[in-house]
Amino acid sequence: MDALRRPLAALMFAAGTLLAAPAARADAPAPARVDLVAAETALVPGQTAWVALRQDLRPGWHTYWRNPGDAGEAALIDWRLPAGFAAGEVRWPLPERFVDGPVVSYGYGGRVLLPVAVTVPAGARAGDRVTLAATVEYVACAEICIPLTAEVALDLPVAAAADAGPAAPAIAAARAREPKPFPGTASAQVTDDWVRLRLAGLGHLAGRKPWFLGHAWGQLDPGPAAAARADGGDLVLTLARGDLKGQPLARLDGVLVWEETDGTEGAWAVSAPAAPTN
Amino acid sequence: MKRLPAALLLAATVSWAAGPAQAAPQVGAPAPAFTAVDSMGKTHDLSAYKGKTVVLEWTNHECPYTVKHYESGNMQGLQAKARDAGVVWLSVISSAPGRQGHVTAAEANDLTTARQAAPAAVLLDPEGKVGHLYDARTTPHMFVIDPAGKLTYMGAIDDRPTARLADVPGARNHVAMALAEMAGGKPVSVPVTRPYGCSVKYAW
Repeated sequence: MDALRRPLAALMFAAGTLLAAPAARADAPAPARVDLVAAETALVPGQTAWVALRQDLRPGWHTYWRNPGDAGEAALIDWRLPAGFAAGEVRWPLPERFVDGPVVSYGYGGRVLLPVAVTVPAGARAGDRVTLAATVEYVACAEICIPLTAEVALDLPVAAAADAGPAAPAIAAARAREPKPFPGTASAQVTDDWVRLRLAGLGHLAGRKPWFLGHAWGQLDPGPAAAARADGGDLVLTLARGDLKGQPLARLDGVLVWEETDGTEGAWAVSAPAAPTN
Repeated sequence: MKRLPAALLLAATVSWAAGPAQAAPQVGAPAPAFTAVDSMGKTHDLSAYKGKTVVLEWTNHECPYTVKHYESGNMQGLQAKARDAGVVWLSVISSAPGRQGHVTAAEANDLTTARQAAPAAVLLDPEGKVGHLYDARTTPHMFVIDPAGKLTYMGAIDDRPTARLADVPGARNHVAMALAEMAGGKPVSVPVTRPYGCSVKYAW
């Protein structure tokens, strides 16, 4: 984590000199560029079209996951779509963890695509052109944070068939980075201060720096697990409860991420029923 | 991230449910004790304010989310109202030297004057000691402590997690509501919310 933090800090100071003065903010180069891209060259009536909000961030900057963690905000997409079209929720790819002293947040640096499925109505007419537009509110942070608003739009024809467009591989890769549901058994025991999460058959991950990222803010502290151990082949994580620890916790949803032996990261999406214990 | 005491791993094995020795702040529990020096050089001991309601406001004058609440006059209005009601309002600056929002005592006083702010004091916390005790993570991050010394509110200033001035009117101000409810002898109806804003720029 130190390795992550230090080079970031050097870049941040460079950015900070440009951007620290509020008066200079408007003139400073934007830390991020966002646009909307589509997987296919046309919208097919009655089918789902994959689009993505593409963010390109300058080095050292990051934006946030669905649960930003200790600070930051997830991007909010306010769609303006033609009648009959509907946009689904963002399919969040696995985020990075950013550790700045005691402040831990989840998000993305560099280039990230946030995929969204758009339902095309069966009644859409081939030959028409359609504009998918949205206002995106997000915040980019490095040493400092800059809240940003972007207007994005995509103009596409409606056609009986569509071909893969230039953004298809990147959108497919982003979709593949969304953690898949854990097929095994997950359960959580909850006390006033702790959650003990048991994941059947994953005991071999105890030494692979497992980290559990809660989907919802406040259920868990966003930091690393307090303890990870193998127990009868299961993985048992001890997780500190977050600011909402005074409230009952009936289900814990989140992502388990670990380090693979080749240096990549593995992940499962976990939904665990939670019950109080003493 | 909470500071995990060294004894935790042991506690987790031997008596898993015992919880941490040094708990993070929790509504309903005593607010963490601290002493800190303000921008006038005066030392403040939280325990000296027993009998009074105390508000802690983490601040960073360069953070756009903090700017929202000062340019709109929202924060100063709350501070003045608190002062008039006998509430002790302590602004806390935990930015480390060299990081955004760090100020000298004189700069802190200039900011108070320039912004017509009305805190009882501005606590200088460049080492982040008070910040860590409260697990303050954002600017703003707000805490309310009742006259008995118990924490009654922690979280955001309001329910509009943006940096837009236009979002101040119409927001539910959680701190104003907590203070009003406490003054009326009622429990705080929304005691914990997600704080929003810039991260606190602690010393590395």
